Amino acid sequence: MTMTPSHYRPRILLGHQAKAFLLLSPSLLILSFLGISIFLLLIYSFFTYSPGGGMIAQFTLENYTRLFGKRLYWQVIFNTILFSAVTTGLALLLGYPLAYYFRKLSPVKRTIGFLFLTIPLWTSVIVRTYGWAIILGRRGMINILLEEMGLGLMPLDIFPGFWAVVVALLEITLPIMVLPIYTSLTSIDPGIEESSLVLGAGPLQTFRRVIFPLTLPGVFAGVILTFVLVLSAYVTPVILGSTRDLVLPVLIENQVTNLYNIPFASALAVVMLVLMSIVIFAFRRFVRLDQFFGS
Amino acid sequence: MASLAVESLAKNFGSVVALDNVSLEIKTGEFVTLLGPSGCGKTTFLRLVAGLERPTNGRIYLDGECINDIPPYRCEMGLVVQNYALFPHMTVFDNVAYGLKVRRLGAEEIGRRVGEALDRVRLAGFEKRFPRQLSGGQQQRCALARAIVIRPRVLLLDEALGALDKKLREEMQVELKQLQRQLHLTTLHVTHDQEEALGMSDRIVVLNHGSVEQFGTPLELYNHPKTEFVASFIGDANVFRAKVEKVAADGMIRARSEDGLDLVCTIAGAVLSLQNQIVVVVRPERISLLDTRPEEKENLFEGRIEAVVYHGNAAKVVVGITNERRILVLEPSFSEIGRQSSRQSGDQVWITWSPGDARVVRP
Repeated sequence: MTMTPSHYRPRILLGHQAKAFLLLSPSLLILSFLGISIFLLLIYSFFTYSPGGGMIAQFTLENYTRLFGKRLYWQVIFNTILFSAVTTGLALLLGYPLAYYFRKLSPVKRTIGFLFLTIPLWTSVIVRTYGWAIILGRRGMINILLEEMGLGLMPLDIFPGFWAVVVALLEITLPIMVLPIYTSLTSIDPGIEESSLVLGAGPLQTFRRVIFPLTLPGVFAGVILTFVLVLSAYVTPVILGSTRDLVLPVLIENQVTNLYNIPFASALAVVMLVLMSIVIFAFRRFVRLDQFFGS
Repeated sequence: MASLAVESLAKNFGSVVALDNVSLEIKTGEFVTLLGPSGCGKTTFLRLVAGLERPTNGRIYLDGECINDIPPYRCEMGLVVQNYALFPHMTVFDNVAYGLKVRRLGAEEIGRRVGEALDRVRLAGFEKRFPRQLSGGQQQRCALARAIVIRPRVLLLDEALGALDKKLREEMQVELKQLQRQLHLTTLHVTHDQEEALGMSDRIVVLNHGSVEQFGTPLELYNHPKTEFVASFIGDANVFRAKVEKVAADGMIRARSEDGLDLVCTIAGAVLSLQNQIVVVVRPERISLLDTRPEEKENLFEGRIEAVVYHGNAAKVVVGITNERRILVLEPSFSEIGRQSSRQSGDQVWITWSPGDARVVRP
């Protein structure tokens, strides 16, 4: 028999499930809010819009037929995907070498490197974006510099436009691409790389056959995060894009604030959600993550 | 297969000297173990030979050719490390085939050689498994197959058996040794486990603080240690620091230990030019335990048993002969004199050893 210590006080005893529920309740609360709002989006997207009078709870497919029926909206969807794909691709091309380089740095230099990499994340998106407008503008910093150098280089004419948006998005997506890749790089046992070298694979072969495949989970995380972040970017395309660079988030905002067309905005939002899901699931299939996590 | 030689090899990490002026030669087909406590430089030595570190000083020769400036991927070495470092994203087959694939051999030859290597390590049938689906022993054998399949000029083992449990480790010692003999593999093995070193090696290099203490066969190291460090690191030893009192014409040394014991020993083979200060080493199994005082004898001490640790085939008996001095005695179970069942802490005993069983070594 166990002795009961003198300071023992009876407590309310909870079952495992009750304890688990209590611990989970904050996240369950958040999740349920998220779930409800997505559910509402879905419902609203089938409601009827009455111009000037908001929406009527009357089932219609009109929002979707309009969305998929007009060339303009297809163009917007295409723009959105193009921004995401180009930015993600460039972020990966720039970010992977950066992560690889960070791994080889001394701890102090690495900390400084990460500081510079993440500073953009601390700045207000509006300030940051207007900053780019000043730098990239026709009479902006870069063009003044080019002119001063007098090399006869063409003035850079990217603002407002597609590439101005991409450049500004890269600034903020680069840390998000680099961090997960860096993490998966550092989690590789140095002995694995050395084994490959001793087995006769030069640095390039070692990278191609061992290092890169082992960082695919990090690449996957970086690509998904970047893609989704760019897909939902609003401020950057609004400020730095031209009128031709209309994307889904901007269109949604337009529908809500200017036309008060909640049903159509909801339908657009649903399309965005579906796009994100497709990207995530397609990528998951492509990378075969099960190869790394469990059998 | 190749012979390996290093010449005044040294390696510093910043101001830390990991390896200091080491020279030695390893013959073709020889199994040599680097033995020493952690931090003695043994792993650094191995990494230098593998080309994974660059020496601060000295040269490494493979079959007489200097390989100092050759990168690890051109050295043709086989390496097995303690955690095996298998490629987690590749199957057993692909792991073993790796060294052959990067050498761009044909698929047919790769298949044949991988099959042979897996047969040798008794891992046939596991080709499609991933490393995480293997037990520790299987992973170890997979790493071994991966190293030998490229027919390395030297096989390097870095605590390769260290992660296995005792029984499995002893089995693998035997298997590894057989494999090494069959393939006539020049092998450099790093371990801190003296039993493993004694059991597997043709010769052992005892390293301490980055320098070689002694390089010799297991028998030499055990029976004729040159230094106090070797004597106490390999096997159990009773060590007496002593001052020489008298050297007799018949080669007998009389010495008095720091704690006041009178010792008599012979200078076997005169391993040292006699200094005043010597270290006398007596192995526990060379000491006899007696219940009664024998006839006049040298190296005879009276003491009290302080502990008895029974090991099955023998018992370790700790005898206190002065307040500070404890002598470790190993008494075989079959010993006629020893009546182990009755030996108990507190018993009064006599211990003795013959002068020829004491070794005089460098401090």
